Amino acid sequence: MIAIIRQEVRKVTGRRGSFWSAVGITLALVLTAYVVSIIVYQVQDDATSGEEALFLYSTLLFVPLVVFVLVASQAGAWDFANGTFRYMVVTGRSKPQLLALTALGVIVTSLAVTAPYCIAGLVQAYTFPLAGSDPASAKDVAQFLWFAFAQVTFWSIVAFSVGALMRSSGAGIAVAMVLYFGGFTFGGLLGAWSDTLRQILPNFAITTTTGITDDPLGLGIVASAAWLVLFAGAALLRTARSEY
Amino acid sequence: MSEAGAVIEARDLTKTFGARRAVNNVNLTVPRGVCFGFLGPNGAGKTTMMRMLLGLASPSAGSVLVRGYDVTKSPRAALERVGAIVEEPRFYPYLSGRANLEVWAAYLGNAAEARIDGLLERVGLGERGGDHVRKYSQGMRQRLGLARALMNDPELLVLDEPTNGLDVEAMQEFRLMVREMVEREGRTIFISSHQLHELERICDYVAIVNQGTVIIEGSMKSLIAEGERGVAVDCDDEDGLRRVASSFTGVRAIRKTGDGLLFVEVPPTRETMIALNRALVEAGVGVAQLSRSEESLEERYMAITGAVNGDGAAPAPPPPPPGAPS
Repeated sequence: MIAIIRQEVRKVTGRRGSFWSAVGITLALVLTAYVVSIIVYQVQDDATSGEEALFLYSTLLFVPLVVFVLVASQAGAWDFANGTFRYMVVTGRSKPQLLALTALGVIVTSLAVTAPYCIAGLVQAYTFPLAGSDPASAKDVAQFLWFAFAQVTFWSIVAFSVGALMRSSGAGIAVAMVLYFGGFTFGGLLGAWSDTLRQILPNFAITTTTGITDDPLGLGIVASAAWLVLFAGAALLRTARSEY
Repeated sequence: MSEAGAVIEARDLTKTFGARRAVNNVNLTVPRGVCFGFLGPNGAGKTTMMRMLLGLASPSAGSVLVRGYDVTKSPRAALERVGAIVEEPRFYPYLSGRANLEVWAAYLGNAAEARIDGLLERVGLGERGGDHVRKYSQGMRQRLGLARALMNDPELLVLDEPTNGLDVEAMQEFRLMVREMVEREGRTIFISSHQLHELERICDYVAIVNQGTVIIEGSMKSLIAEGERGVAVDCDDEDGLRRVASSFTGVRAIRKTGDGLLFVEVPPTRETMIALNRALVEAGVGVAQLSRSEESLEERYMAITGAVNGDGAAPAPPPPPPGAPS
């Protein structure tokens, strides 16, 4: 199992263009966050709290998430579009199991790429002048880590599933991107009509599970789980029923 | 329960796509330790049949046992020691040949990774294993595909058009490798190819499929033996040859071939050929060449598929392979 996950990670990291874009953007963001922090510190008389530092990092995660969506949807489509999935099937393993193992490789890779970003956020929250004399609490740290984990895992699974459903890297990426970006815009419009419907959209539901909004936590958890079941279930069903 | 000694058993195997029957009620038995050629024109159902053997497609009716296990119900057990090239070998082009094999080794387990070096050497990619697959020629990809197919030390190799893209030298190596795998290693090879002259040289058994149906199945020798056999003569006196040959017992026909030779349809035994040559010389007929002539697999194939498609009488089937049900 571990050997398979290692090779699945290799399949993702081997697509150097998209993978190093993800790494590069994430690291660039760490650097940017530091620079912004320094500027803010210079122009402010008092130091910002550790909680605010972590919030800044959480907000900036939006950028690498875009790249993870791209990487995951491409990974979801690749084996089908490239014809390698049929050779995976010939190993005798069940098709849903093969898809799940590939998804696991994508999630592990995305989380690994997020790790330096999280570490940088924590270091800054405790040591950098931004944190000042008011360092982050254990709750702030847990919330920050959960936010990163939940967002990265959720969008990796959704984008991977969309890629696996579409079976074309380009189409998979396009649909996953529309879901990701369009969700915010559509949610904003929907919110004017029904706030409950807005709350169950993927972008808002998964953010609610991190507790950083005032939306009902229970609804966020249920809606997030439902979206995961819907997307992953559809991808698994199509994979199991298809012939190769 | 499977036939003793059979590595593939298809029973009433059918695959439909809408109203079209791609594979129609096929019964096929492939004995262990042989090279079995699966021939047919484009769209005859060969690849669909192979995909069902490998669990890539589900039968609409009937069943297929591989190594005694139903592929649909027990794919892991059935395919545990099966290697394949289906349609064309596909890889991760951004990874090296070796890295690609390592990916599959992880899925196969059972010390497959330890075989990688040896397999790369065996298929002639020992020095290019570190190169990205995107830099490989089609022939090199075929070789890498064969290495992947051998990773789980397979009892059965299912090879769909494995010689596509191979140059003459590689083709010869492939031929030798196939025979070595069958004769020395005891593997069973189920192979489809349009290169019939190659199949004729490597296959022990053959089945010809047309419009989803197996129209003939048997040993290569018997299939060839069922074809037209005789003696081809290049001489300076056609009438003289006709006169001499017609006095021989067993001669069924004498006719001129497309390449200007005279074909005497008679069992081409050594004794007959010596006697015919002596009689011709004694009769004053100058003989430039006298040789055994048998229909090639390609000619038999054309005759058989032509007959089934309405171009002639259907040929009698050769005896089935051992282990096949009567």
